[in-house]
Amino acid sequence: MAKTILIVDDSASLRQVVSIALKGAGYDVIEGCDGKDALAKLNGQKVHLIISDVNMPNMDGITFVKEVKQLPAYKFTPIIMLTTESQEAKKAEGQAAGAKAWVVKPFQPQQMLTAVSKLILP
Amino acid sequence: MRSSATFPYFATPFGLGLLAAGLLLGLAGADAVNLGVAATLALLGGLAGRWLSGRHGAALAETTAARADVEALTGRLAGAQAHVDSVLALGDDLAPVWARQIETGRAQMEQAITGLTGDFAGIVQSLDAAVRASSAAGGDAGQDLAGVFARSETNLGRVVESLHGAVRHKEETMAEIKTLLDFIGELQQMAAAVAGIADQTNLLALNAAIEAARAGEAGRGFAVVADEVRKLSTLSKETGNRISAKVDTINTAITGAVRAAEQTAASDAQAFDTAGASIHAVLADFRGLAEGLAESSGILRRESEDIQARIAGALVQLQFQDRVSQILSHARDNIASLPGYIQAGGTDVHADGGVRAIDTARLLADLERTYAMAEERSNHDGDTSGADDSEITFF
Repeated sequence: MAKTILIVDDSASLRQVVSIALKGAGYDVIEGCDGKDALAKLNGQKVHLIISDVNMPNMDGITFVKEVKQLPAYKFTPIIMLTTESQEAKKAEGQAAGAKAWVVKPFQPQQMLTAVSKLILP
Repeated sequence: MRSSATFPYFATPFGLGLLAAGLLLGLAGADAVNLGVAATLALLGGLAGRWLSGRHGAALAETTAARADVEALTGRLAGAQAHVDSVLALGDDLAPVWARQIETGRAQMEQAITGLTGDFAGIVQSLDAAVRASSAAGGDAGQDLAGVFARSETNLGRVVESLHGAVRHKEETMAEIKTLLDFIGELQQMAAAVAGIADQTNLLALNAAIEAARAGEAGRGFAVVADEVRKLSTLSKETGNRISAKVDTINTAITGAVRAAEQTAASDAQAFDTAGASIHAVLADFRGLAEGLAESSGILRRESEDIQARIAGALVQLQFQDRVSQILSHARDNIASLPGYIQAGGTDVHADGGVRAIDTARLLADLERTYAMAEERSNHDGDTSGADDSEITFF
């Protein structure tokens, strides 16, 4: 059975780009347009990995990661931050919030798939 | 104008001097001393008038110059006010237009790229489905077909070998049957020998009968025996003849059967050869088909890999929309905040006539705080070296 990945980004085109790469590798994908929307989409659904943007309206990525880590069902769900931000201070914020990896856009699909396969839950 | 205006300032002291001189002379008398004092008073009056007139003229000139300066300053102030008003208009009218235009461009680009990405996703999905279908038909099936071909070739090879074996077996059977013809020849000779022996026995029986007749009464019993022997020889000859006839019949039957079998064997051999040739032809066609499918499968696989590489490249390029959108959003928000900064200075002008400089440093600092990308920061510092390379950091 295919594993499910949640993509959180306010850019619809970016969500589609990530989705194409992941679906091509056989993963199922669900999407959220910001942190708040993504929390609503989780709603108990089994998710094996989360890929989240940082700068988003309503709820930014760092806050979203902190919120997810508070949920028992998703406490150990690995999270990859996918963002244009490359400052070390921001990366440190992501790491402190509980993210497992930091990918700077634009990403190479194969690199992303390697990171996903390395981190995704069995 | 100036002389007529300054005249009272000269005439008044001078007139007072003359009046004092006249009063002195009238009251004290015109002696030499009084005349001298009167002349001095008149001279002093004239000098005072001249000095006062000069001072007035100078003051008048300074006043005129000051008025001109005031008029000039008033004109410059009006110009400055017009400039401040135009800067306010820049903030109130132009900056929102710039912000709206940037936002419209950004939104249209995002909409178009989102649509484009959606179409691209559809194309990728269709291509993927086509490649999967083709792989199922020509890829793995091509490999399976090669296996099926190999197994079919082996099995059909066994069939051909069995056919050849059957032909050989028939030929051996025919050879065995042909050896029977040699036995039939021997049987015919034996039948002829039996007939010959019967003839000789008959001749002997005839001679014995003659001798028995010559012996008279004593040979009567021998004559009976000779007659029985003659009858037996006759029977033997008939039996030999029947054996010979039967052998001929058998010979005819076997010869006919051998001929028929030979014809059948030739026909079978031809049929087997035809069947073998057909099997080889089918296998050759099958091999060509399998090789063609395997080749098509290889081409398809290579094309599929090439398409996958191009898709990966396109996915990287499509992500730049997100970067461009963010840069435009940050510029849009900063331009939208510009009227507030301008208004802060403009309000002061209208409130108390003072002019305060726009806080450009703060405006730039606000803009810098919104940056997400290294290239925005490098652009801010005047370095347009370009975008970051993709990178992954594991925590």
